[in-house]
Amino acid sequence: MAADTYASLNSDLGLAAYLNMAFIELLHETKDLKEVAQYFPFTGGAGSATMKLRQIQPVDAFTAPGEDTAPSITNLTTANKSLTVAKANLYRSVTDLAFITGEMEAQQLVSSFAKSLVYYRSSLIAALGAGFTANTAVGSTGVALTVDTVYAAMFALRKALVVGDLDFVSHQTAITQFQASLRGETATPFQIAPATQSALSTADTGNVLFSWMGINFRSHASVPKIGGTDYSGFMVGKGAIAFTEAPVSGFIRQYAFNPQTLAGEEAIICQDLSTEAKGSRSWICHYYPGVAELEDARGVQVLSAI
Amino acid sequence: MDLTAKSFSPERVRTSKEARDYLPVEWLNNVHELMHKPLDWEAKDGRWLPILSPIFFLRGLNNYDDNGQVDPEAVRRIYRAKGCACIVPDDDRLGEYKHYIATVPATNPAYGSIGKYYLTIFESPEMVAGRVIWRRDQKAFDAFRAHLVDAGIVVMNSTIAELVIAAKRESLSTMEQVPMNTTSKQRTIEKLSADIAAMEALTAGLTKPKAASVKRAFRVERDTNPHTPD
Repeated sequence: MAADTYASLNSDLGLAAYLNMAFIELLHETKDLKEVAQYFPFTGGAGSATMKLRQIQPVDAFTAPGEDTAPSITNLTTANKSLTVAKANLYRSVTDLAFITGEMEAQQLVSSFAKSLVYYRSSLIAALGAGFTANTAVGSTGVALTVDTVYAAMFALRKALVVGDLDFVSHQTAITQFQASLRGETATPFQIAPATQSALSTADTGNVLFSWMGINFRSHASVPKIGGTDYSGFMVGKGAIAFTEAPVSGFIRQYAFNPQTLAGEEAIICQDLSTEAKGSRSWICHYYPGVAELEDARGVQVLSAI
Repeated sequence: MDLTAKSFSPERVRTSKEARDYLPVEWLNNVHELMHKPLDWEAKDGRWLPILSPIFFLRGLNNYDDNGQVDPEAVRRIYRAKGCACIVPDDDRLGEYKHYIATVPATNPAYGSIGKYYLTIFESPEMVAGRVIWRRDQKAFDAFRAHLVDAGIVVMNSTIAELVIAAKRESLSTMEQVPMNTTSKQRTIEKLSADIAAMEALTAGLTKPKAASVKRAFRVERDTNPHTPD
């Protein structure tokens, strides 16, 4: 007789495939845009879902009256912006049998909530790019993003007195268009500049893809597509966008629901026991973010072809 | 309920979610409208046409959920305060373009989510080999934009034209200082030059703003004693 083999024994004594317990993540958007926006802590229990942010223009012209003349009064220039939080959530339900058979693990759900929260928060920030008005939008409809367009955006912000590091946010397509344009800059000093080399070679490792000429380049899959022809990206300085998250930890302590409820600073994740009769476990993640434009002139819309 | 005579188009009952055609998109967007920023204009086919931008309505964004309920006006107020014209879809002045926002059933394949994708009635995405080809009826969209000007929803006058042309000239002047080492740059210069020429050709017929409009006219007075403070 021939020896017993894997193939001959497999149907009775083995499995066609055994389960590797690792959960391998499929491709998904991993970037977090929260650093693009300025965070303002939200005070719970203060009587409103809307937080008012106070703005003041600190610089006014000195008057130069005569030596023996009383000066006229210069009034302060003030403004305000509102930041309203609203509920967003993600609800998942898995049957007991799916857990018993090892097809699902609770920590996978929690990890999924955290990543989805980051995506949602980033999509709110990305949606603001089309609304900057004070600086005329740069880039042309149906035209790929170029080095010249990035300079035009930077010049617009610098002319508006925006100082410090800038953040550029658009779809990944726009980032690769920009890299293609950088590659085409054949003037030798430009091509060998360390910033250019870094921009062309840096592998995507975090929320900032690369920095070039003081601009942090970021991408997000939720950057809106407008008119079916363009991505509506934007470039901003610090203070263009405000965001807040209603803190839920204090609320949970005060009104402790059930032991299955978890609260981070930003979100509540709770197990909903109402589905016990069905033999399933449900989790819901509640999140209360607020995102708004803080100062229009600190941002500029950047159009690029899809 | 409005009981005026109407006809209805029946939609087939689907047996499962898979039986329906869903547009694969990267992001299931929320409802949006269009707005016009005061200086976003282009000259096309012998007319000034407004370049339109979207306003998104998402809970938690720009006070959309003000006072605990969705309030589009809370968002529109932000843009109107910046001089933008909000093109409200149910504005009767839109005529045949009233309710210009539409939806298609959509899915985000990466996340397995199913919902609606909001777009304008001028867009008609097509799916080929798993890819979405975005098509827009540009002729109809341009007619819509021209209608916005004719209906007075967006305003163009000689002062706005001056500012738009000045911005184009500045862009051209900046580009002219850049070494012309790519075809893309050459094309940009050609396009900017053509845009400026087309815009200048359209300035003649524009109305001057009235004195009582938003723009204020300042009277120049001789300063008979410039060294005396006011």
